[in-house]
Amino acid sequence: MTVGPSLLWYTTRATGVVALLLLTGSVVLGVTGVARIDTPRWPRLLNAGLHRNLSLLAVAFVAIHVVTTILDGYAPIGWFSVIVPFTSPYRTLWLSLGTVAFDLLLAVVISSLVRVRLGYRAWRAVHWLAYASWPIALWHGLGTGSDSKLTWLLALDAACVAAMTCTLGWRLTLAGRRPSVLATTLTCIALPLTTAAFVAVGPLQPGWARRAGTPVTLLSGTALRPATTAPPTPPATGNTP
Amino acid sequence: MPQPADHAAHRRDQRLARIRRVSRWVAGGAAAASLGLGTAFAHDLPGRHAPAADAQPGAPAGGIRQSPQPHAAPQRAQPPATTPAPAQTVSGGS
Repeated sequence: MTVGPSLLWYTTRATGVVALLLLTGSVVLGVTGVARIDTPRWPRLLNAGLHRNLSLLAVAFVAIHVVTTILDGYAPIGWFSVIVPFTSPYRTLWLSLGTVAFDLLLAVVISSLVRVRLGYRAWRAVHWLAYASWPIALWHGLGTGSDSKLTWLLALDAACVAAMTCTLGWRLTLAGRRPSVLATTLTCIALPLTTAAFVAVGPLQPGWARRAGTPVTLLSGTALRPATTAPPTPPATGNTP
Repeated sequence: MPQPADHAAHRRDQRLARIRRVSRWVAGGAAAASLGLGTAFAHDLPGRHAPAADAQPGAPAGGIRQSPQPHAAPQRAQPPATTPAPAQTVSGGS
């Protein structure tokens, strides 16, 4: 019997990674936009327009990521779990982080679409949630993805963390002495350290799938196994995805 | 002679066109990246033959399952043999 991920599962993984990259780019542009940089080569209008379009593109890729995950059907993830966290038995905590990040992203996008009616102060308050959705989305990918051990994927995650840390650090140099500076400084230091520590003690360690909360039926490989006796097969030749 | 207002409007149109152009490139790049990453995942996390007792607790989820997709074709299961294959003999040797 041939076993392995389906095309939908690969699409889920790929669109999830691309969505994180787009979200990183969007947040980086958002942070630089706050600095009100306006040069002939990089006008503010371009920064704001790209920030908006990247955000919408990220939401589109998250939508594909979600739909393909559910359609794939291997992991017990329902439509309800897309919006409501802690309702799926599959890696409940880590999947719920993705749900929360998606909810926050939706709130940011919807509030931006009705910004005129909402008022600037309320819109700005909701927009700050984007800062929270980024690390939540990152940890969702690291915790839920069974591919977190891949070197190139870790490198992509590290690049996203580095981009965010550098942008926030650069933003700090422009800020004056304000109470938020201390919080941002601590975030700049804590974000990479916490993420690296989590990866080291979590996904990179053996048995992470069990500790992450994968249902026993999936761990034992009984899910979707046909009732008929499988023909004899040679030993395993590839990596378990 | 163009008026300052016309010049500003023209400059704004130019910048909006630049936003559209860069956004299209980003969207195309994201789609291409999805394709490339999907291929990379398929290469690094391929399907495999798995007998019933093969799965180990702690194995990453999303792995052990049927895969009728064409990407797993190189590792397609062998059909059940109807007649036992003759014993392979090795002759010669050093």
